[in-house]
Amino acid sequence: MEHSLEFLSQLGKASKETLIMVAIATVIACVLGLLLGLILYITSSNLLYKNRIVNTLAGFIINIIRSIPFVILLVLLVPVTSKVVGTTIGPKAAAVPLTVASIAFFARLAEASFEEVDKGLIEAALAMGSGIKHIVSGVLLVEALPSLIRALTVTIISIIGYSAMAGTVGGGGIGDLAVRFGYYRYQMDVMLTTVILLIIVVQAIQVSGEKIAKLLTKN
Amino acid sequence: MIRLENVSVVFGQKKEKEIAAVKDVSLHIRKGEIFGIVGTSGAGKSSLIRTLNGLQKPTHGKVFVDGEDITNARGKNLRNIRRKIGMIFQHFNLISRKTVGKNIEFALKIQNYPKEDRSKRVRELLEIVGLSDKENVYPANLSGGQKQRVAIARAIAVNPKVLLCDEATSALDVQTTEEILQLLSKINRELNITIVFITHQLEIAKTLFDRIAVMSQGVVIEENDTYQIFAAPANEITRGLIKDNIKLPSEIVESLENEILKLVYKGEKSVEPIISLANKKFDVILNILHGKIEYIKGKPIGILFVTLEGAQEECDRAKQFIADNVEEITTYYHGKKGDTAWNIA
Repeated sequence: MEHSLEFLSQLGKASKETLIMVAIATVIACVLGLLLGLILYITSSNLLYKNRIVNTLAGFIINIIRSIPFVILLVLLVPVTSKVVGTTIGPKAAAVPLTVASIAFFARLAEASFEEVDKGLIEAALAMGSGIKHIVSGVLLVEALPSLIRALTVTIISIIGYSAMAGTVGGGGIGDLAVRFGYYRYQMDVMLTTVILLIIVVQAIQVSGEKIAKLLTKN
Repeated sequence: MIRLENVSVVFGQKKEKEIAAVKDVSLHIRKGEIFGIVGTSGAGKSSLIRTLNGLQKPTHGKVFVDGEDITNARGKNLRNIRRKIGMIFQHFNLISRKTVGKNIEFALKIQNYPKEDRSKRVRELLEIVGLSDKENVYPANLSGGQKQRVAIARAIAVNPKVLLCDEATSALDVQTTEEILQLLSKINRELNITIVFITHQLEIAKTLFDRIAVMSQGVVIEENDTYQIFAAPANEITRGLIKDNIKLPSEIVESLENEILKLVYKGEKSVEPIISLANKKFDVILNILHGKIEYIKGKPIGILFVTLEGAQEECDRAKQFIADNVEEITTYYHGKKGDTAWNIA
């Protein structure tokens, strides 16, 4: 009884930590990743502002971030983290490398979402005398929205996965709980509970993401 | 209204791989007319029409629309010229996640139409294209013809001077095509919008176009009034394109003893009295095997296949009489009696 009570409070704390980390990373990735994805798309499009230098540079940086294993990125970014949040321990500190990784991740997926938009729609908007502002707000973001929602769903699930490694820098979270209690202390019930919890969360996110995307699709 | 001066469009960065889609085209499209550019696919029509609103930059040459040089226009200047030129496409290019009304409103927004007047203008435009009841419907729930109507409403939203139609009816069935052509014709007349229409469908040319340019392999090979293009095509390729799709079944041809004559008549001259007269004046029997009359912009072009029976002398005189009174008389088939050689006119 005592054991399960302690575990429950631990689980509550861990869930809160995961939520903080994932929420920070998601919100920032949503904005900056989207922006970066747009830049990638616009600078690669013949119809818009094709710019090989910007495109290659942005793509190169994203590829570097994505090729570094997350555990290593956590450690590599420690100096940055301490500058940004003032500490290198805790969920907020872990949110920094998590955010960096998810920006790169979401940027690529967002770029792919924009690529899926029919080029004819951009041509039509250009023919009407549209500038880049209206093409982004009235065509790209509108048409790509369902696909962007799917990309975001995938991103959030990846962030949850990454957040399990946050324990390395004392970030805590559900994944960390599973490792500390389930793996190091051989408490299989703890491990199982956290795993089931993660499965439920991931399923819920995936299903609702898909539902929203379907709801937003009009063809 | 639109002037093209020696326009060429070349694709491919490397010299060896260059493909010239448009070669040295000069055209003058007059204000208020419906100008057609026809040609088989790959003739360079699409590239050419895209130079008219700067979606495609010409490699050489200049394009003037309403007196303004669009060739080197950029940024705000280019956008302002484009606002005078509407465009519709083969695949409609409507935004699938915006309703019909919102699609049109987007065009108004782009072109800085006063916000408070937009919903009124949307309703006006839907009225013009006959879709007043579809304002809140998504494009996916419309038929092809209805989608093109929305695209037309969007293209003429802010009273452009020119409407470019890029294979605008090629994805539609015959009946719907006819309706869209009527709508375009009405827009041309009532709103005084100059229309440039590219297509590979010559049927459209017959009813819609005032003048036609025929393109082949990037070059404009012939340019004339629609009737002249059909009645007296000057170029071999044009003749191939408009080749009368009237043919006699080969079993009929082969079973005939007599020579088959093909008569072509145009314009005011009507052929029926000539046939009757020939029958009366000469001791021959004139048999009509096949025929059709087509109306190009309201003027007829007729084609008849006839045989003559009777004494050789009478036949020759009758032939001469007919030849004097029709535009063109040719031997389609020499008949078994004489030369058996084929002569497909």
